[in-house]
Amino acid sequence: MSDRLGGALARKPLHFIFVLDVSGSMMRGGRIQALNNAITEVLPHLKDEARANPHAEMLIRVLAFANEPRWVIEQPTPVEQIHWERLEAVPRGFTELGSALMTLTDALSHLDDSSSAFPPAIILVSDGRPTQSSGTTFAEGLQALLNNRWGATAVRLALGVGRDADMHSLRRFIGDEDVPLLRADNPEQLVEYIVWASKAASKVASRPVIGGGLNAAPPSAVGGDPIWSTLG
Amino acid sequence: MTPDGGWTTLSGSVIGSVHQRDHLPIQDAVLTWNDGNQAVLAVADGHGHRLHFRSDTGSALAVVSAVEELRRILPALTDPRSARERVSAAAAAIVATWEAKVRHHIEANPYSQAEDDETGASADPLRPYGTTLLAAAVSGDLMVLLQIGDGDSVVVSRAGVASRPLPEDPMLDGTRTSSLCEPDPLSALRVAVVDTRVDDVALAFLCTDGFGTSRVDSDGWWRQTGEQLVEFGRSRGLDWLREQLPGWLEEPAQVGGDDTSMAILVRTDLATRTVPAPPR
Repeated sequence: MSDRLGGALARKPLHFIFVLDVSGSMMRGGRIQALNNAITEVLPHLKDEARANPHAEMLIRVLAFANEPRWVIEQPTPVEQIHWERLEAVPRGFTELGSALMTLTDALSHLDDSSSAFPPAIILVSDGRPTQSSGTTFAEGLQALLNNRWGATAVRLALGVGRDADMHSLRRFIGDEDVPLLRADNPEQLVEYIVWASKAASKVASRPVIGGGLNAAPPSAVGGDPIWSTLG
Repeated sequence: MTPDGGWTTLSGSVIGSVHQRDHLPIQDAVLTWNDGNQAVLAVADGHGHRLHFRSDTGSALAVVSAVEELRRILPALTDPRSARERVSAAAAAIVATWEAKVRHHIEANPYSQAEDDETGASADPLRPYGTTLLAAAVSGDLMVLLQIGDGDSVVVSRAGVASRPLPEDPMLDGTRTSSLCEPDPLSALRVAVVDTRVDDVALAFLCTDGFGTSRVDSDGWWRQTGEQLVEFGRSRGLDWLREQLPGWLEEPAQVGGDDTSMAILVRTDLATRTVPAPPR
């Protein structure tokens, strides 16, 4: 009989999912380039977070959406193994966020149903008002997500891009009024906000305590002109 | 059949690696008492996040309250038929005692304006002290267990067969727990009465969720733990168990990140009694 009481131990997975808008409007003002840059910038920070949380196995997925959702990274992948390939926006592509949330919910429903995982961290980035050309509304997608155990308990953060971002829908996605909702009006802000959101989400989601509570202050006074709001 | 021996207690508590990293105090508490024939033990897991910013105090007050109140009912723990009623009454007394101690602590240490602004503590004054509670008491052959919130309470026979005598709490899903700081914590109370002679009990252990949540065998770790404790206690003695316990708690606290505590109630004659023959 082994001298280790209780058997083997393993780190619990922390699923980290980016849900990224690649609709046609993301082609304006260099938004899609800025989003790619932001993801590239955030990866080293996530690696630092993974090292700072040795009790959690940080696994990344990326879901892009325009006319339809598409997994960019479908298999949960350790952050050290992520090689980011730049996303392209879909010309004249819609903002089918409701369908994306359905796809996200389906993925969450395949997670381990025991308590042996941290609540997932989900970061949504969008620059427009959700459309419903696929027949699935944003409200239906959100409700499906919230009806899922992991979706309901996830640490959900959202970033708006430019003045056309539907901040009301993004606020509904977050749910918790105490969690900041940020809008990036230029590439510098987008990078800064995504880095902040990723670090904040990983800190909250990987705490081995009951309940959430995001208490990291968002970045303030990030420089740059509000080009995405003036360009429209 | 030789008479069963008395009871002794072992316990330990180790801070989680995340609490160490974040420079937070340990939020678990553990307390035991025994006189050789009777024993009481309690463990508590303070919730630890920012809304429960005094949960280290809350868990410490919880185990003190539990040991105080359970010691009071020990003389009356003689009849299995009335024991359930007595332990339920003791649980109500524990909750009342804990709440009184918390309010006393708040009087001596009022919430600051900053704490109020950030968490609304004054509007829900018990919330900052939120904690679970697991407790057990034994008097002669009768053992009682009570629990509010997550964690595990396990009873193990001399044959090494483990069981969880408490009913499930439907509120526990790995992300939420019932708590002493709720408006009606007794609605989440779970109690059990065990006749240790009938069930041939060798030991019982209580542990906070930090011990089990990172186990690869998430369904069976508690059975293995029970079987090992009986085997180790029999083959290597209780002193060896006592020496090993801190190390056994250290590993899950490091890997899982959470505070990890365990209290064990064990027959003093575990190492000297012969092993029962397996059933044919």
